[in-house]
Amino acid sequence: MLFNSYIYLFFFLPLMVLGYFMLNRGRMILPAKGYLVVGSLAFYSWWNWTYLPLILLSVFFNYSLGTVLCPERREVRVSRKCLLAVGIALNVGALGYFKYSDFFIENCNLWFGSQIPLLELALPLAISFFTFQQIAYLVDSYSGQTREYDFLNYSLFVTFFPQLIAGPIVHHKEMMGQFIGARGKLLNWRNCYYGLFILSLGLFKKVFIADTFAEWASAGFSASAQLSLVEAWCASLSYTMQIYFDFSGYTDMAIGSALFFNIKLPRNFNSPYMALSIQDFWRRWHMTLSRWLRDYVYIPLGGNRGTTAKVSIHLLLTFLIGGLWHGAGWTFLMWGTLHGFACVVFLLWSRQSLRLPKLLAWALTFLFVNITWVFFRADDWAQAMNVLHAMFAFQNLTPEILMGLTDVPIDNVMDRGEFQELFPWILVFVLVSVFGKNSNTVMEWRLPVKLGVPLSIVLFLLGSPDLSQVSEFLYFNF
Amino acid sequence: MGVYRNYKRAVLWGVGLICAAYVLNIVGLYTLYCGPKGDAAWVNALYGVKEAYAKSIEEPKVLLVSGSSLHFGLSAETMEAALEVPVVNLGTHAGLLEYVYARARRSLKPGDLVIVAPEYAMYTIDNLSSAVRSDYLVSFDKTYLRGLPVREQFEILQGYMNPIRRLEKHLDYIRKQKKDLKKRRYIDTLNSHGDESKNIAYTGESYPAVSLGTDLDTKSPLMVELTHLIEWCQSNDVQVLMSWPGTLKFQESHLNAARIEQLKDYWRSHAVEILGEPEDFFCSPELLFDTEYHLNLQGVAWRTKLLLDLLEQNEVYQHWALSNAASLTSLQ
Repeated sequence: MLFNSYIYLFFFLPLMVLGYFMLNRGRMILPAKGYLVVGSLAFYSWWNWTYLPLILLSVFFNYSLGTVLCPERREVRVSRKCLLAVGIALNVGALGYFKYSDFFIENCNLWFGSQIPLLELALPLAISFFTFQQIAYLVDSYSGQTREYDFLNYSLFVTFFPQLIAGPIVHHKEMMGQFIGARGKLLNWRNCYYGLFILSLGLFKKVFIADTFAEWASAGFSASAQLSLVEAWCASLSYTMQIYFDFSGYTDMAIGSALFFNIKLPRNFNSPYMALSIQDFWRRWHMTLSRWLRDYVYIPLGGNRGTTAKVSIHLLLTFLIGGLWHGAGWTFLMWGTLHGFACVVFLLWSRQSLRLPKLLAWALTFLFVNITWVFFRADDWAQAMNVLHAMFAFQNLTPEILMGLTDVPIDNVMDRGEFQELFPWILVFVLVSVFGKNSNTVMEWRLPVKLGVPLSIVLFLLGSPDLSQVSEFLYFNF
Repeated sequence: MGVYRNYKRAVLWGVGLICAAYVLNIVGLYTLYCGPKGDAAWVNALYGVKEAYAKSIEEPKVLLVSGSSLHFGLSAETMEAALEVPVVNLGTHAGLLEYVYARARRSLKPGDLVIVAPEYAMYTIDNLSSAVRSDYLVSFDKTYLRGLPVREQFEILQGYMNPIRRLEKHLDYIRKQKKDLKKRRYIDTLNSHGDESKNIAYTGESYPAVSLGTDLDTKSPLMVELTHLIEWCQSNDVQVLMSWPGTLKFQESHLNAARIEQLKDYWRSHAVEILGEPEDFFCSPELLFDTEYHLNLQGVAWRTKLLLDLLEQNEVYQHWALSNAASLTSLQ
């Protein structure tokens, strides 16, 4: 089920909120939690129930293993380390099987001339997210950071519908307390007020902004072979805007939906296009994934300890895994590698105590991120190269054009109307994404109801989709 | 407590007003709303001309019914001159799906003859979902919309749920309507019989040969509506003849004689005769206009002559013409 669908907004979410608090009001705490879990599983299997057994198996397996891994369990005779390794291997194995089998087979066939048929498996929805979430749980159980939780609470931690499909990747420490606590059992109108506002803001970001840029980005990338310089930049900048407003819109809708249940999900974005360095970018973009990669990949690899060369390798490996997590393809690997290299360059730069003027630092970071999104968006290597080639075809820029004496050549291959229509919007939303207040800041404001209510209504109505527009969130693919 | 009560009131007001906006929008969609996109407005203008001519005819007439393969495929004016019988070209848009056939009943009277030549794609469609159909019904035929099963109405309305966008479209339509009426841009190229004249020549594009697709499903919504039309005609003293659209030769792999036979058997089982064979209506690419189903004026002349020859040899037509001879002489 999509957050930006009517069935979710007008049926599922109200039904879940009303049912949950009515059960709690009748002091039926466990049935209320069970209701949320069952509702979340229904939400998960709305389109395709065939992978429901997979998520149930995954939850049951990881919960059982987590309780055994806990250092307080003295009766376990098998080496806990060994159990942890098996647990991680099985989780990663399942993810690898569903997500990377065909990529592996394709490359084997290409390099070794073999004829192994592709498995053509459908990627189970949210597998990347719930796998990472549960690997974190296993590692924390091993290191004694988890308490004993009952199965119902654990199931709710993994399947809670606002964060199930595309994050934020939550940590059991920040969720379990909220599920267990008594204060969350009562309907809190303040949370509902902010929930409605953030949900409306997310809907507006997704439908009104991201989906509009999506049309331009798709038109540009699908016509990649014929793009002019200006169109190529328009296409890449459109995608840069699309992915940010799409994913941060999704996150806002998740945060807003969770707030109705008095659950505060962690922030996932902090104005990433405001970043002054690549390191800064990763502290602001998909923050819960960055945190996961730092805690469960980078630090176990050695983190900042060791020589500059070693730290660089840790960084590169972490970003390679990050790239691969997003998708099974060379373009994703390239994207991860480029970000890894950029982090290494930044590391070397900062160890020399060198500094750039802020504007230059921002421009370099933004341009780098924009260029690397091309690999992230492209359907294949050739398409990425076509777009990049067009973006850097500066030989077509004559002195007359630079001096404004002649119009910029536009092939109009995008077939989406005049380029002049798009350019001001790109400019406006680059400025909004850089200087605008993000939803986290807005939540911290004491938003007066006289302003918040009309604003929520306008944002909701502007973001309200027509059926033909109901489109998936980009991060559903990962 | 006061602040808390404020939040409660704010949420209830917010949710209430959002719901009210949607309810108002839905009420508007069933009553006032009109904001068609290009094709639906064009179709509406076509029906205006074509149905006006059909209604103006008192005598028994020949009504040609199908989508745009007919609009851009036959000349009712030529047929009328040759047959000395009033002929109306009611071809509009295949995207209207079953509505094309349901709407045709409004132009038929006892004693008429209807020739139906659906596009091949019509036989393989398994659901009634199309943007132009939804747009047309919501904008121009709310009575038909209200008569659809509730589930189908809901599916159509889902595409028009954004209240702000609907209001914007409606106002835009009112503004543009005045301009369009002045320019008559959709109907300038039509004659009084409903024939198109802008399809002057072959554009040089190449188009794919059509395919019959899967097995014929006589329970598909389109077949059911076609069958309803036939049964309605038979019980209202309207003669029915089926025919085939003009298009490119099926590709060898697509040629499925068994499927064509299935179709013919189905029509025959409903006591309906068929004018010609699909092969008779296969044309060369030079006779096309802008799709594999749209003929240019040369193609229209060719197909019209073919249909006239087939009609003149057809017993149902001969009998119909004879039995209506008395009333038809008054036309001459």
